[in-house]
Amino acid sequence: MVLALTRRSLGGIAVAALGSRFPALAAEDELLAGARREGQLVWYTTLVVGQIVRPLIERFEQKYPGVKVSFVAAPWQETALRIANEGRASQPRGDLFDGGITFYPLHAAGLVEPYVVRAAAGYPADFKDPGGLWTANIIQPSSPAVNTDAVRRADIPKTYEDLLHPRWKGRMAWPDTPSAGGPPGFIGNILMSMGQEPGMAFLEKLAKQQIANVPSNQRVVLDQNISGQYPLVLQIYNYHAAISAAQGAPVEWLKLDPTIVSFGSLSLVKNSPHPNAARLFVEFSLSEEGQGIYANAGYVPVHPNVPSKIPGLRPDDGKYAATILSPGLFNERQAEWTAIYRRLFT
Amino acid sequence: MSSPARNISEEPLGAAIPPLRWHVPVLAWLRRGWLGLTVAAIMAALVLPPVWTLLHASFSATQQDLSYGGFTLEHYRSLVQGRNLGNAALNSVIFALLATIVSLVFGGVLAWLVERTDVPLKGLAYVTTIISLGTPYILYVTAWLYLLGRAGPFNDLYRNWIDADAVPFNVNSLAGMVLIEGFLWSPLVFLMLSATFRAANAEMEEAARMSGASIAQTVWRISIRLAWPAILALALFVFIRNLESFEVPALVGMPGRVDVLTTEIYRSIKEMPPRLGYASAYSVVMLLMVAVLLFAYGRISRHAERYASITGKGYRPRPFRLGRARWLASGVILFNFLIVLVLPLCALLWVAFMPFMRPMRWSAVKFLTTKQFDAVLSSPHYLGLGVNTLIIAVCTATAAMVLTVLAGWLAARRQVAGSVIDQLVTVPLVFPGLVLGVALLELSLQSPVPLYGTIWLIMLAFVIRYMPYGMRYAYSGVLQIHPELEQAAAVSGATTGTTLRRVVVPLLWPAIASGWLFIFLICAKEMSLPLLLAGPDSQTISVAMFDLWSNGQGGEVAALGLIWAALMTLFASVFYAIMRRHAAKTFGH
Amino acid sequence: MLNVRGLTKVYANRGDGPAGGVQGASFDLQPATFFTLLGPSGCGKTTTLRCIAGLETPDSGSIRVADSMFFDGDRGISVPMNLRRIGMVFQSYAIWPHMTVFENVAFPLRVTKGERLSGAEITQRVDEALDRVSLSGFGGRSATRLSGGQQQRVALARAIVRQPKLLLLDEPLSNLDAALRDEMRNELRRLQQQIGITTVYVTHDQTEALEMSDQIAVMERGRIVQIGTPRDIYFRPANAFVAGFVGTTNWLEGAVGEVSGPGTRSFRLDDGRMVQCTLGGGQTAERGTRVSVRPEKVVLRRGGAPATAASNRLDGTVVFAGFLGTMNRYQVDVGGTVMQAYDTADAAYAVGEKVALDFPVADTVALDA
Repeated sequence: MVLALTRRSLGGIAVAALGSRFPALAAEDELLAGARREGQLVWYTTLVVGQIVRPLIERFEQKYPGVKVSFVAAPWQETALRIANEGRASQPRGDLFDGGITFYPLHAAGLVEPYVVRAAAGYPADFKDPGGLWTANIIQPSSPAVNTDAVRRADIPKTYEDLLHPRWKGRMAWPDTPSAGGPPGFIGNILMSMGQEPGMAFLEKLAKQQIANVPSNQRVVLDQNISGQYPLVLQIYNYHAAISAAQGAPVEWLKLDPTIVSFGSLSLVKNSPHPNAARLFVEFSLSEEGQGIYANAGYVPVHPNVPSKIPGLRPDDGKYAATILSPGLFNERQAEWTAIYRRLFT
Repeated sequence: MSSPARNISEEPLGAAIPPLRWHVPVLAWLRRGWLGLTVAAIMAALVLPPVWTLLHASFSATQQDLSYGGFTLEHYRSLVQGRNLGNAALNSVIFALLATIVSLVFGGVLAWLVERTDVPLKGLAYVTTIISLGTPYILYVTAWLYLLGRAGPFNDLYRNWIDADAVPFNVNSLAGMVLIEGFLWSPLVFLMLSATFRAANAEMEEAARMSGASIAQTVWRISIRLAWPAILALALFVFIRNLESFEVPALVGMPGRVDVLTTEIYRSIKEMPPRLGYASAYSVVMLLMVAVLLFAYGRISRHAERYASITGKGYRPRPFRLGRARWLASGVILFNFLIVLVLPLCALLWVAFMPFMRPMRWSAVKFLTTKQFDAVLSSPHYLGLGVNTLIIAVCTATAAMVLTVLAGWLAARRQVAGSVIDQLVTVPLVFPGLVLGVALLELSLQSPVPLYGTIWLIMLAFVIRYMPYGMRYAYSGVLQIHPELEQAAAVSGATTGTTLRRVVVPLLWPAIASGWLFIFLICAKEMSLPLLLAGPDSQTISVAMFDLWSNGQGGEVAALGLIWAALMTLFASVFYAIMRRHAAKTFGH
Repeated sequence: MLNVRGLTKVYANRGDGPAGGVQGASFDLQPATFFTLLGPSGCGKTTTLRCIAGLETPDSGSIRVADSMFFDGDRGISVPMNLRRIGMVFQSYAIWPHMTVFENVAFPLRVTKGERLSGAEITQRVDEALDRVSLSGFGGRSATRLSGGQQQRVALARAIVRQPKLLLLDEPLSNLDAALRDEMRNELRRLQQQIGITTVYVTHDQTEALEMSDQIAVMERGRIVQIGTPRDIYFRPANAFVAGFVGTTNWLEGAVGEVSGPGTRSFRLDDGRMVQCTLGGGQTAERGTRVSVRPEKVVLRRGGAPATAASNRLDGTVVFAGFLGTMNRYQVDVGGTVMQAYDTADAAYAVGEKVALDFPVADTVALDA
């Protein structure tokens, strides 16, 4: 599952997407008519409200007057529990949801409505479900980062092996989240890229480095890196580091070979009250315009024609090797990887 | 003189006493018990459904689709067979015990100084308490982590001046956890004990002083003993709360690998799918323990009315004259002000005015920016959230206090169903937020009344969650009122309702005010429940804060949190000033 | 007026201290009686009072005031305390600190069911009540700014303001200093007689009981052991407990013998000497083993003058003589037993002097052990 995306393969897909432009317009009119009838939609989101949720909604409501978007912001567990309970009570209130792993329990509960997003026709195959159950909306590359005030240039790790150097013992941290963006994702990446046995040997040595498990999200761990608490941190999102570095923070994200790339995705809720409006919103969200708003907010967009605001964050324009860890793959293996994490690192 | 009384005829003196008949007139019992039974029924309706969910979850297998699986003992088994169980249990008890002591000593000393002495700077203690209660929990812990952390100003200073490589204090340790948890709950102790001490009977202390006791001896042998049932109840309460808390153990202890019993719970609910059953199983065990502890407490404080200090006799608390020790005492208040308020607030301000986290240095001052404040102040939607939050907090605090004053009175007076009520009200103390949320989620979706997604549902959840806190205020408040004050009203012809309204509530005012304030402030910043229960139109400030925080907008959270805390402080201060005046009128001091 | 029958209220023993409670108490009071429940602490007197007030629910028995049945265990009747319309003064006064004196006293008028008094009526009745307890003009004061005696009066005013049929007083004087207690004792009695209210008074102080009461019930360990006028109780105690608890007495050990005259028996002292006695405590004293003689009934003589037929005589030696101003107090050894005697101030006997002790047969009461 290791692949290096190249500009050539992405370009090919983009051309293919252009070919299907005309029928999409008619379908969009139909969708819009349906959405206007429904008048509104409810989005259950795990994204940052001020940064992306509101700008996206603002633009959408401007573009499609008469369709009002309301949202409920919560972390993925709460979002999933909420939709699952609504579904079981046959009273779905939300129309669509996002997040990475949110999809799986809800799919298992039979609460996801498939919809093949036309705007995502040009997306790389790794970033969408062929049946339309989910489509990626943001890319999240997880990388290590160093505090450049605290670490000499020569000491910056260049490979995963460098993490085993004694100078890092007790001075590394990572977020204690059981997600692809946390230690289980890191472990999966190592096992898949190095092979099962050498991977385990590496992890056992790494465990002896006593990495601090910070029970917070990636951004908090990065902040602790910037503030000097931990000179080297693992599994933070590279765009967070890049944004802070652009503001003058002494931080640099590292391209170790290969980098884990996971992503968030959008899905529709089955039997939701506003199906057309929800579809319209998903189309908008994943269109070039929508993805531009994501990029502008600092996220790494999925749309091949939309570059990230700070260049070099995506595998294709950053020219780094990546392990693309789809939620499906992660969901399949997470129990095993989490167990390794718990056994070796906690 | 005529003989107005015939001597007893039917039963001559010394004759065999008729066999005892334990005949309880049912009607009389019902008449005396209607209030207790009604309150017990309300409490049961509020508390038992979540208990059912808790039990159900603890015995159900975790399912991939977030539904409940078949019956299993797996959660209990993994509880017993947990890694390092002995060590974690020991850590838990040490942590809970020491943190309780820190809160009690710190909050208690402060409360006594403020209420019973002529120490200067009393207002400062209240300001400190109110602001620190109004500051969102995660901000507070984050500030402390930052302050005491490796890169924080304390360790930084030490490194700059003494030893460049040393880390003299590791915050991610048991000691760090104890300190932070202790500081976190000392405002609760302060508020509760200040209500107790305010009502304390000065004569008893004066009698001790007249007998030649020093101030210290008087405090130790009289003041503390008089407040004993209240202190004991409070200590028990804080201890249970600490044993059950998983935020500080996780945020502070986990990076340092200090595992307590709840560390595993924290992890289990973050997993995919979240293992709610495991957290529930722990809560069930805690529930049993709480029942035992409450029973023990009931036995210890059985004669609590002995300690009643609001009697019908002269009631005019007079403050101790500390003399020269006043300045030492004001030092304690200043210390509290610095440690509990100024330092964390400075850290937060620093974070709020920095574009990103950095050590506190002069060299960083040039980076100061108001960007984050601008972002908050220019977002109109925060206004709506703030209004929602205020409505929820005011209604919750009021409803919870009304319920718990009744419950506290019934329990403290050992009325019909009193002990059942006491147990019921205390149960929510051990609910994990997520479990309570899920229970209400399920119930509100089935409820014929459209509750789901409304602010009423959040209020309901808050009332359940914070009843135990209100109960502690009300219960220890009632214990201080001499029962004869109520009996006098009843004999005067007042019904139970009138007695409560005209006698109990006015005398309980200081405790009610403190409890209301506490619940109000804690509701205004509570995060976990609204995350699960808020609908599109019932979002609260804390949801917005959590959203910013969990997505790494540390600076904006700090800015929003500080603005919010300032508003809350203003609101609470006005309210408290009114309540104080009311209480002052009541007690003539 | 007040009829109490077989009143029983037993507390489950909680393992610390006396079990308390009352068993099978019965008594009937005529209107305007001042009735005192007297006994040591834990004897059940307060429990009895609280059962009458309705603060406790009895296990069995019945309580009736005038025509209304307050409690009947057999018929399941129990009138809630707020409907009993009685006045009560508590040991702690129970003055509400958050109300003025006026509001404290007006409270019963404001809360009584089915009685809607106008503001003027309330003011008038409160003033009247305050006047009765000599607190006119104190109405506006905060209740916390009163002396102990004044608080006591407020409590009393509050108890009588509704003109109840029954007034209950629970050791109301125990918290006052000695001088104030004497004053209040007189005042209470005066007030009670003035308004002619049936009063039940609880105390452990026998002097209070004897001075104030029309009727006294002496209680011991949950039972009423004697009911009677203060004189009856004092001079005709029903058993050794009553004799010992109410006032001071001399105990002579021995055994009751044959009938020796109308209402009298012979009594053989342990050393063989004989005296005459009357039987106290009904038939149960038949096998009584001691007699009680009050010290003030004992007269000292310098031998010679013979005692009358209605009086006993014992010879002894004065071992102690004390002058108390109003009287002399002697201790006389009458062959192993020391008897106390109070004699007039002018009759002077020296320590060591041989004397004869005369005491009336009617006041030599044989009692159960």
